Amino acid sequence: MLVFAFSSSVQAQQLQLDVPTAPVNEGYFTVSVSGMDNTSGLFIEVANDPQFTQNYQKIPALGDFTQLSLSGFDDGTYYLRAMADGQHSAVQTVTVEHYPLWQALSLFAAGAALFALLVVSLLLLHRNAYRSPNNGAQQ
Amino acid sequence: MTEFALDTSLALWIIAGFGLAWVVFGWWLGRRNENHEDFALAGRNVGFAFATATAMATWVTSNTTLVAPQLTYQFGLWGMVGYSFAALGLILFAPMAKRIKQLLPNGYTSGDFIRLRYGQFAWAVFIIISIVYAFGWLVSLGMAGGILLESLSGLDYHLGMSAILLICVLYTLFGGLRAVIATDFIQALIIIVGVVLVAFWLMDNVGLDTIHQHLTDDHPKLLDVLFPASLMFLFNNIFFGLGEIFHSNVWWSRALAFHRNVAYKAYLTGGLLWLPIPIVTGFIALAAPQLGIFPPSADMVGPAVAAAVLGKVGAVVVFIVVFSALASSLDSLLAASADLLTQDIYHKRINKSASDAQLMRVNRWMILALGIMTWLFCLPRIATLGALLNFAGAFVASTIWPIVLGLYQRRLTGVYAGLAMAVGTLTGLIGYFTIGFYVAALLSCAVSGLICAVGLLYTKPTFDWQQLDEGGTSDAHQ
Repeated sequence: MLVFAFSSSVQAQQLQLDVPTAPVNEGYFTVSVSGMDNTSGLFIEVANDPQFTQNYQKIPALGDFTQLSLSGFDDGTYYLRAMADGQHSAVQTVTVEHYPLWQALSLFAAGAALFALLVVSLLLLHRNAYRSPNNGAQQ
Repeated sequence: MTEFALDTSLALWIIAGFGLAWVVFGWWLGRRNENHEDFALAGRNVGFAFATATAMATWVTSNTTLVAPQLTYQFGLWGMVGYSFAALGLILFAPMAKRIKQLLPNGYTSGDFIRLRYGQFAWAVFIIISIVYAFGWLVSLGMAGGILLESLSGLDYHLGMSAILLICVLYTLFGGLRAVIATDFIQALIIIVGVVLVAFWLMDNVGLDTIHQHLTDDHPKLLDVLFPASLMFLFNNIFFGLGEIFHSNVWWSRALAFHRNVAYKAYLTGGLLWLPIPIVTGFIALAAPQLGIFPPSADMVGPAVAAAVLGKVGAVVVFIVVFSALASSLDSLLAASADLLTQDIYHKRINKSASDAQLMRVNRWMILALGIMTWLFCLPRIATLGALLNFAGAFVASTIWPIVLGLYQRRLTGVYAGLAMAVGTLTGLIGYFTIGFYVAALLSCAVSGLICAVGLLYTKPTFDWQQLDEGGTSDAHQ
């Protein structure tokens, strides 16, 4: 579940951080920032607590871009805020919930079975084509 | 103001230099094209070295240079390894290419095969799938050109995209498949050397231990072999790759253009050469968090990291490699799609008595028209490359079973083959929109396979292979 937490912080609020509005099942998501006068020097702060002390990361934006693609997050709730020109945005919260492993492994197994069937079929059909005189091709 | 790895003017000079060289080369090669068969199939006499290089280089595309890092950045280790499994498409196509060359010694396109083997209904479904896929790939390549220039040099996306499209259209227009294959050979050499250089510099500058430690601390899922989303993505990506190669005229036209007995070895060798390339390009993305690189769009991560690590000289290398990779695929797709439209639509539907000169002229107009339409579709940057490509997976994966069975099995009829492709595609699309992109190709292939299995069980008439040889006596029935 994704939760938005609008901070009551008194810090400047013209800086706005937008995060996904749906549960994050893949561990990656994109955030974007608006309300900046100067697009350089933008950072996103990420942590596991609203005080930004646990597993704190300060992530720089690339060049003048105001959007960041983030990835590799484990299950959990993450607190994010944008920082630029000494100002902070309101704190936003993203909860990452990966797909259940049973679901992933089921799909993996189904794919593996279908793939094995295809490879075996192709190899057998190819071998038979060059053994049978009625199958269109003779060596 | 952002410091980009390349000056905008330098990027433009590189494009202009390579573009001019390739256009002149294409024109020079095109002088040897005496008839439409020369233009469309390079005289059906391509040798092993060129055949292998074009198979590998065409498959090294925006997929490999931009989407492989994107998927690694998003899915971690499985994204990287899983992407390299797309080589299975080339490897498994090797025996099929041999079979194609034998069954259709006078054939031109994959559409020819479907029409002759399965009839009009299946052909119509197949053509729709082919066109959707070709446009999806063309648009993704055009977009990739724009993204590459934007991320490395800050050049406007629309300008970069337009420049790359223009160059590829021009030299394909002048030289046909002969130019495409010859430039692919040079581009393959550039790609192999460039990718090895990037990987070496990255390991030397950043180091494996550092990257591993940083990922473990801050991005643990990227190293997790039981990362659920990546497990779900793996086989979907494989079926997508198989569908792309098995159905696309890009690969069929090459099988038909290669010299006799070359097709099998060329596709096998090309696949094995291609296999490690996504591992290298994907690995680049794993260094991104350590380097503090978090791109605005995940498909920009590869060039952004390479440029950051390698500096200006490295950025030039990356730029040339990716530019070559894009061009080698764009030209192939333009040529093969134009062949498909010329042969399957114009020649077989509109003007059955078209002369050789008319076919040449129409083929060139088709290349130009495809280029313009691609440009128009690329103007709005509609999706990330990965998302765009995975959408096409629902279409192409439905063709896998009908193509394989059609080449080897005499019992499957056109009604079942057409239904398999249509229903498979619809199911894949439903899966794409209701479940996620990671089931689109898998569902499409599974449902298509089921319908084909039913068709094999309930069909009695058997196909006469001689019907495939429209233009003469095939060695298939000697």
